Amino acid sequence: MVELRAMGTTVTIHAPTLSPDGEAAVAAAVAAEFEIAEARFSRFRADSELTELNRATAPIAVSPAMLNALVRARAYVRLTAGRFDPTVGAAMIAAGYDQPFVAGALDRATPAVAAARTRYAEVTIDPQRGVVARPAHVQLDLGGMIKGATADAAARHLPATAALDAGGDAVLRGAGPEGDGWHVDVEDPADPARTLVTLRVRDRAVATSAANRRRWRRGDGWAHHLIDPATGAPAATDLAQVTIVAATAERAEVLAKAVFIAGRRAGRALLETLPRTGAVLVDHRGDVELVGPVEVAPDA
Amino acid sequence: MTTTDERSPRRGPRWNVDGRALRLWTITGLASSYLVAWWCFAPAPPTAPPDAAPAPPPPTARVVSPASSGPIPPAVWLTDLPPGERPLVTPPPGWVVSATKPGDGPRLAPAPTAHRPPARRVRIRTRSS
Repeated sequence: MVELRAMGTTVTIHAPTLSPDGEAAVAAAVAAEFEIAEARFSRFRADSELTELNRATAPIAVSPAMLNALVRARAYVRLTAGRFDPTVGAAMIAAGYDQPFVAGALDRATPAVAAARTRYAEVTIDPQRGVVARPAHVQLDLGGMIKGATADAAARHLPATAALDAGGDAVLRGAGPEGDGWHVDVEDPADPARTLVTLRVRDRAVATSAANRRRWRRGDGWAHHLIDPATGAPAATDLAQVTIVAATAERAEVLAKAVFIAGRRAGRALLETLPRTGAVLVDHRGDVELVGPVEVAPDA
Repeated sequence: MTTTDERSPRRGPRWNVDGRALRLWTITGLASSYLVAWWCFAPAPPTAPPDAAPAPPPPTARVVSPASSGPIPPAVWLTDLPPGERPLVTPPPGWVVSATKPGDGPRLAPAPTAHRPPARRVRIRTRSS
């Protein structure tokens, strides 16, 4: 097992078939993938391409990687009926998430202010010319989607049986070290030391969204990073946590966020349109609901 | 008067040969036998056909000296030479060029990969981050 820090989280690599030297070489390649992605897509880096795009006052030519990400994001906006929307950047700042997250650092005595509602349709993307234009009030934030995409890209450096866990976004390759699937513990959002259920996963990716970790005090209440595009404020939902099992970490990450924001009923309806996607829904009482193709490990 | 001849009728002539002459005759006889046997059974010497090429001269020792007339360079490992200056070495089947240090030269088999059995089941934990 090798650990490294990237994108403000811990990335863990499990490659049981590799020698320590082999694991170190893979870790270096994984670290490079995360560094490249962070340098391009971080909204906290003054010199990132995303920051340049968010500052632009006129249509701007973007890199193929940025263009590709924005086009993929558009597809996800349509897939989730707008519950995933990268234009929540301004709302995130208004809620107080205006610097890299460190527990306690974002706490403010003043209440958060709601931002103007934005929609991804306001962003103009010209794939032929590689040019993007956005209104001045729209700030893009591709955070979670890019984290998932980077985990997917980094996992391509891994051998056939290996796992990469980027702070809860995990790519599981092969059937695990013992051939019966990778065992993935789903954390209890009410008690992070506790495991709610253990999944068995083969050649899939897993991602989880919840409001229990990346949150901060604003006035008398709490704010968190899962912004509802419909309101421009941190989502108020009947779900405490959503875990998605999907083909890629990017897809799992986007769907986890969208289902969390949608809530149990609308989220389940969305999942029912995606036959190869499984989910673990946890409500505020701690009740667990399995949706779609998820396999629970017998030793859970 | 009647005389009686007491000589045995089978009695042969007596040779008056002394010991010295007997040894001489024995040696002469053995030598003659050996000579006759050798003459009869010894292999005949090869005879060259009349149109055979003349036999090559016997080989003479040849000293191989380096092409340059300067001092002989000290021995070096093949892998110490720059890649462009390495002579082509084709070892006999089953032979390999030795390495001077770990990692150099060919290997008979890839280095073994360390497989570490998991001490306990690997668990991944998914959570919001």
